[in-house]
Amino acid sequence: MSAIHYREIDGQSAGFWGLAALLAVLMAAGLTAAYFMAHIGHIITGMTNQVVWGVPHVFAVFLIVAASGALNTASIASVFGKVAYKPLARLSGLLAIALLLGGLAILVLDLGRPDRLGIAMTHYNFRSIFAWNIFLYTGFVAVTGWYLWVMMERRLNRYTRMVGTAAFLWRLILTTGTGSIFGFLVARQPYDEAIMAPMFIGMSFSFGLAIFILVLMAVFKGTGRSLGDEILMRLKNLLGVFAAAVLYFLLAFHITKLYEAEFRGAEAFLLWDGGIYTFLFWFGAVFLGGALPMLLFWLPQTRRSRAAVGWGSASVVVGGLALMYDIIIGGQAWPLSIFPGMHVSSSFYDGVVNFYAPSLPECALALGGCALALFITLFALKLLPFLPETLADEEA
Amino acid sequence: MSQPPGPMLKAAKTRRGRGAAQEGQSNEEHPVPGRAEQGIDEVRRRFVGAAAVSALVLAPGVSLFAYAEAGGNRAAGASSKRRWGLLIDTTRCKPSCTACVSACSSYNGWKNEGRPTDAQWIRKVQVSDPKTGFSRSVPVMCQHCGNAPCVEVCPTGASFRRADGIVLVDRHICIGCRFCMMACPYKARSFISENLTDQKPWAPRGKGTVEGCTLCVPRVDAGKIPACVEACSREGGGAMTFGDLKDPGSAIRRALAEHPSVQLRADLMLDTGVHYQGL
Amino acid sequence: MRDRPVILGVLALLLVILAAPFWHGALAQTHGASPAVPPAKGAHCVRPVAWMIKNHMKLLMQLRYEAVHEGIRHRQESLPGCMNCHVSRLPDGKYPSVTSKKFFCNACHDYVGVRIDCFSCHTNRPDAAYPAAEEVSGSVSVAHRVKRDGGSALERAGAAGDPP
Repeated sequence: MSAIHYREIDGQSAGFWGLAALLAVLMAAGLTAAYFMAHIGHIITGMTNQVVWGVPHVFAVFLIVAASGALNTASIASVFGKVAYKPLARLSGLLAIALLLGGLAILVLDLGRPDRLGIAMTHYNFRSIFAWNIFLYTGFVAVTGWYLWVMMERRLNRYTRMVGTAAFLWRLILTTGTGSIFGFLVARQPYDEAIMAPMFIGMSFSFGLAIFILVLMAVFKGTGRSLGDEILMRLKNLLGVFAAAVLYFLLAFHITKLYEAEFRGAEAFLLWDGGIYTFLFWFGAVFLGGALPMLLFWLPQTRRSRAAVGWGSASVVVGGLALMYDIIIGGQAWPLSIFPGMHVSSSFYDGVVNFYAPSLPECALALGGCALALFITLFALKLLPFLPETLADEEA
Repeated sequence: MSQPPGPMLKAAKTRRGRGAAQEGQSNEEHPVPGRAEQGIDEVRRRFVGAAAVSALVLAPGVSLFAYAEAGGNRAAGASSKRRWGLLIDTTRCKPSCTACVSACSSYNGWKNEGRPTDAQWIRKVQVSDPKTGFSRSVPVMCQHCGNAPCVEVCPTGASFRRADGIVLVDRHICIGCRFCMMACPYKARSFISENLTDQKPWAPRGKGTVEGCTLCVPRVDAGKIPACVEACSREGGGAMTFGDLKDPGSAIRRALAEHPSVQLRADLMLDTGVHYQGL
Repeated sequence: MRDRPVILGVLALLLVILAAPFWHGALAQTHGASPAVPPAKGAHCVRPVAWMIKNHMKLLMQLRYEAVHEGIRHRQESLPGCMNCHVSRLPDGKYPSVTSKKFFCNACHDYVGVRIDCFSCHTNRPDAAYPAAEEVSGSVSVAHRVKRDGGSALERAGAAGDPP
């Protein structure tokens, strides 16, 4: 393989500045929403005492999960020694940091008291998986930043494998922590399953790689650099496997739940008669997130198509968001079982399926976080040489 | 509302450099009422500030202040020798009665206006078994668990359990993440979604933080019983008993020893401080 | 190198802006304006006034920890105790609002530009009934023995003047 030459993107075109302006507008909208949420209160969101986490959390957890998955490509190159992926490693690390910061920004700005971020950084309860996640997230940014440094500084290149391994292990632990936020919730029947941790790892592989492919294709198209079929087809095959892995985890998760009588009510709701949540699971998570991309990637008619790679990746992203909505909101819509087997009613919505409708401010905040992730990526690409000048197929 | 100047000035003087030993002595001169019950909690709280010129809070619980009125004005404090609990005899609880809910609401200053964002520290849940027709009306509030999930998941430690078993939110360090609300099996916590005014002086509550039943902790600390229990015995069926679960002679312990009782979601082994009979 | 004056100029401007708290304070002092602190009701504070001006926040932090975590509630030494003594009705019969300059805490806090958020949760109105005027007395463990047949038979001690 010939030497790789990395170069910044020019960032002079109208398209670049147009995109930057669009992202800036979205970020400003998100910040405005956060301001109003902090000053007026969460009353302006759709979140209630029944559904306490809403759309901001759907996007935040999605971005954080995707962040660790975006690092896959770098890990494959440095940890598993696949040289074909090496030119992509820097973008992979950059995207991981950017997505994580976007997700964290949403989480922080959604807090009831975002002004108390300092307290979150100084008061720790180490029995809390949330407290551990604060370290896992900030540590991930640090380790991945270090990883980028040793990759980009020629004299430090020999440490790439070592630091890359550290980053890989860190991201596995990070996603275990994120999945455990839900897996540890014994109180709620739709959660409370250890498999949620590995399931989130599977989801991160899939969502992160899908976003990576989309960004890669967009940047190469936008800058007129050449992106060979070979590398793209490798990535797409990998994404197909990851999407299948998510389907496998979902199958194992729900089969386990269905086997236990305690969880059957919640399962019937999520999988059969839960309205939007049932639709999001089957059409969103299963079809868009798994079946459709696998068909696009591997059917003889589309398996060599670059457009199919793009559409398939986009489908994984949309399906992933649907799955996250299904897990986070659907899981809260199902009422707590305080008196198992009994019919219950109260003034506090006991025993009824909880209603949730996202409001404009919380959606603006969620999109603002996504815009932040892309904005960071965009300007980092302009400032530092993250991308190779060409990824054209080798003419050996 | 005024206070004699003596002890105040004396405290100021000790801060200017009298030794720790002397200060310890002066504590002895003014024993705290009920001190024998306090044990190590009290020792921990003793004056530490040997040569401190200006007073400082080093860390929560480590105090550099001498209390001016150490002799006369401090209540006993939470002690791990007690565990406060509730026993609710559902056979005495009338479905139509909401005395406990109204009393809690008016004492603590929360209002349920029927919106899903309204806080509810206590609620009446109508429970019926569709297979047998058995039905009960059950007040549900924070169960003050021994192994409280809200305490375990709270990232900052704002959700905590006092030495005497009362589970509270320290709203000074609550960041409003709502993880405790996700973790609570009893839906006992509420999040404040809007600005509040005219809170009760003894029940501070405000936007962006999470709250729940405090077992009327200011009343308990003053030697009174929670507002719901009082209201239930006055206007309701006398279904609620409050007391020390660690005291074998207390009414609550005797009732628990005599008749079967259950904890809600006992399968979770949370060791709740609230027990129910007749369920 | 031709940029040097520009860079130095911007840096100097930045320094001036960053130092705003200092020169703002200095300016305020030269104007001679001192905060108009509303008078308190009591004869004297729970600590010497000079000490309180410097250290009230430390005292409040400790009282807060003791009250919330350890259940040690002091009679007058508490935020409600402060309100009872330091907040009075205005000539129009109303209590000053939390944002008003006439509210005791704001008199100085506005002056020095230190924002406090105590009163997003705590009320800033006095309440004669709280904190308790009477001493809490008796053994608490005895106080809490309540008979199951409830009602008038509640055995409790130390009730007078306690939180309502």
